[in-house]
Amino acid sequence: MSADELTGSSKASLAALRAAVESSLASKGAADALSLAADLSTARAALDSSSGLRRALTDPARSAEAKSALVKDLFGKVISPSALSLIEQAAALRWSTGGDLTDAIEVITIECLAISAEVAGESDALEGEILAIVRSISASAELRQGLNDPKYTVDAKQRLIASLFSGSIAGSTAKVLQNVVASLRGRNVERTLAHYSHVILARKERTVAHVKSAVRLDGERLSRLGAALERALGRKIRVDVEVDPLVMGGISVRIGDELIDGTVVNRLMEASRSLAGRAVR
Amino acid sequence: MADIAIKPEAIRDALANFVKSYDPSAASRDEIGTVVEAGDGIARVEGLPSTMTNELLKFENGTLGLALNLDVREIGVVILGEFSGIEEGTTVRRTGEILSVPVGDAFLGRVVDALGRPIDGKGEIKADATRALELQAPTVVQRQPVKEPLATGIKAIDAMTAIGRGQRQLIIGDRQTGKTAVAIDTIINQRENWKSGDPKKRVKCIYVAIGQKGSTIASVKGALEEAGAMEYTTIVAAPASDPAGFKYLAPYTGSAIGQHWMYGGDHVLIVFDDLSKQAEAYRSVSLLLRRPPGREAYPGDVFYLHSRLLERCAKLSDELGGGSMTGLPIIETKGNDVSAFIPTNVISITDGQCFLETDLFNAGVRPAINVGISVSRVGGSAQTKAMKKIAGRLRLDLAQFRELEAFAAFGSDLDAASKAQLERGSRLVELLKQGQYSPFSLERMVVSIWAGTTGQLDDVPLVDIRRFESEFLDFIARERKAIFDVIAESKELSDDTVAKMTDAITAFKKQFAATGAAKVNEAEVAAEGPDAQEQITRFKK
Repeated sequence: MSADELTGSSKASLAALRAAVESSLASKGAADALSLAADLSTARAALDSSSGLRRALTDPARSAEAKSALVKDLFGKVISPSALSLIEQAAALRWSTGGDLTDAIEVITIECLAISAEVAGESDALEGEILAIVRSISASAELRQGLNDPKYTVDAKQRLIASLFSGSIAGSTAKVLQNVVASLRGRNVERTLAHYSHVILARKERTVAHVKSAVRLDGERLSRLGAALERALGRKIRVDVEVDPLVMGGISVRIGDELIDGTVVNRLMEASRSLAGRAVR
Repeated sequence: MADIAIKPEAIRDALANFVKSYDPSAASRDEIGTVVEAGDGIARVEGLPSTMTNELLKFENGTLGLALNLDVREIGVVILGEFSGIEEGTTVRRTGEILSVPVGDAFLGRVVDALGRPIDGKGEIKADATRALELQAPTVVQRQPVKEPLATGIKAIDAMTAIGRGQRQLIIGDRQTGKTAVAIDTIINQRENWKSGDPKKRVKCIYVAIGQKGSTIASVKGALEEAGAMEYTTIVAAPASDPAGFKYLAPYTGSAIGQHWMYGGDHVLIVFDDLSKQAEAYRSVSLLLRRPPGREAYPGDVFYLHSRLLERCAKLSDELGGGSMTGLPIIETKGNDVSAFIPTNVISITDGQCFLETDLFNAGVRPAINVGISVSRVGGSAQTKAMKKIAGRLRLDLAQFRELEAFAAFGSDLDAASKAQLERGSRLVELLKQGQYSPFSLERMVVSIWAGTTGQLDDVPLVDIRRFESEFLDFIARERKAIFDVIAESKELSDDTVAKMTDAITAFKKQFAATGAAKVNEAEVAAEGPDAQEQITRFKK
């Protein structure tokens, strides 16, 4: 159920939705991000509970206005206007199946939580602690069973988590855990946590540019590079430089799954490849 | 985080309002679909909820597609044309038309593709009408029993497994056994009917080539032109290079063109060459559309594919004009296996089959029809009285011959009766051999078979039978033409005619020179005395 499994039109729609979330939270604070995450969670819970609702909101035969009216009718009084407009946008996009809409809303909820952690300066703590929590849950069979067992209420599980981990984890991590427990709805807690950490890390990857250079880049060059990347991609980018003399010159930039390779060694390889096919006279 | 859960009742109510607000008429306007998946000749299209089954859809680059699968969220479309220009994200629009082709008399003499578009470079075809490809076959009350013969000109078929107008007769056999040759000979034999100008006799022909080599289709066209048959034939060509959608549709196109003539009161002959390739094309399209595969990976409705096609061949009642469409589907078997899936399907649909065997073909018996298992369920009702009279014994004699054939190697050890049967049978087999593109008219056929079945040929050496037959028929055409005329006119064989024929054959035998031997039936001649010699004197100028 990871975001990577969305295919076809759902993949494109998720990318569009993600861009909408990033732009709407661009200059907002951590609290805004958290409240958006809470509203999106509510909406997701409603979608998860009703297959008819999922089908209705992803029906290609209905117009965007009709679906928008349904969204307003259902969620208008319950969630904030910014969340409402995001859900309307999501309903207007094309989804391969009803479940994809629910999964996409979960993904952007997680990203809102990641953004709030970033704004609060707790990104690294969040990543490290989530992985540690996953490890401790895997290690303890009783904890795992307790969290997975449907007969315990959500409140009871929240209290358990709080008593176990509060004080030793960052505030953002605590919020993420609360969200996970509240939105489990029968899913396996380990897998859900792994999915959350996967989404958070993937988002992080998209905001880190791994640069390989033959020589050390001085501050001015570094900030120019960072500014150029931010302009090109439209989001904040952190530049991480690795010095590798083997590239001989130029730089290569890798962001997430994209690679821009302007190194000398790459150009030499391309030249040798294009010559290899030609007969030597 | 405080979760404000939405109550299920609220969801239900909101959904109820949503559903009520649906207005179908508003939806059909400006519907645009998008391709989500394309390749291998099929595309999946999202959107376009008002699409009908078998509706034609138009892609952005002008290519047409056929909406075959209507799923909940997407449509499986078979692309009718080049699929390389269709990508994910291309827009698609409805045409509102169910798949149909142009039909009319202007199609005679032309070569068209599976959508009815001309491909012989002779310009546009002016159609009389368009006809949908998926119309129902005539109902029971709209039909009448088959009683007029459709002469194929091939002795073996017309004598023993006669075909009537409105019948479906399957031509089935391995590759290279002469199936197409039988069909082409039948088309060529309609030339005399066409020249007569009588609409009751004339047969318009359609040859549907499915999945064949382009060179084969060209040679068929050449053969028809040479025989002068192209003027009353339409060729619907879906060669092997065409996409699977065209091969699947081509038989239905041919059938639609024929049905237009049939409902207009004309007689039509349609040859499907061959339906095995259409089934394969349909299988490939269905597997790509993810329809569940059944036996031999064919989809579940492959029987329906052929049955609805062949049921359209019928003899209509007089109220509807009395027209007919005779179907000659061709099926290729592998290794003479008639119990494979598609052959058994089509055998159960058609009104009989002509089974062509490789062994017979290689042994020189051409057409290689295995008379034992070939059958025509219309049979005698489609034969003229003349033919019925003389062909009755033919099947029996051949059956008895085949039983004894195994002992033919031990010819010397058999009693006289068996030897006579063997002799008779082998002569009949020899008689039924026929060259390609040389159809026999009714009267020639009747005389020829009469000679064989009544034992008139028993004293002709086996190697001379065919030569005897052709020279004998020429002899009658030259000197006893009245026999042919009376048979052709009355289509009956009176005792008087039989007597004349016996007379003719006796006379002919006197002059026939068997190879390497004395005359066949020569009476003893006394040597003449020297006085009887004529004196010839030569005068010098």
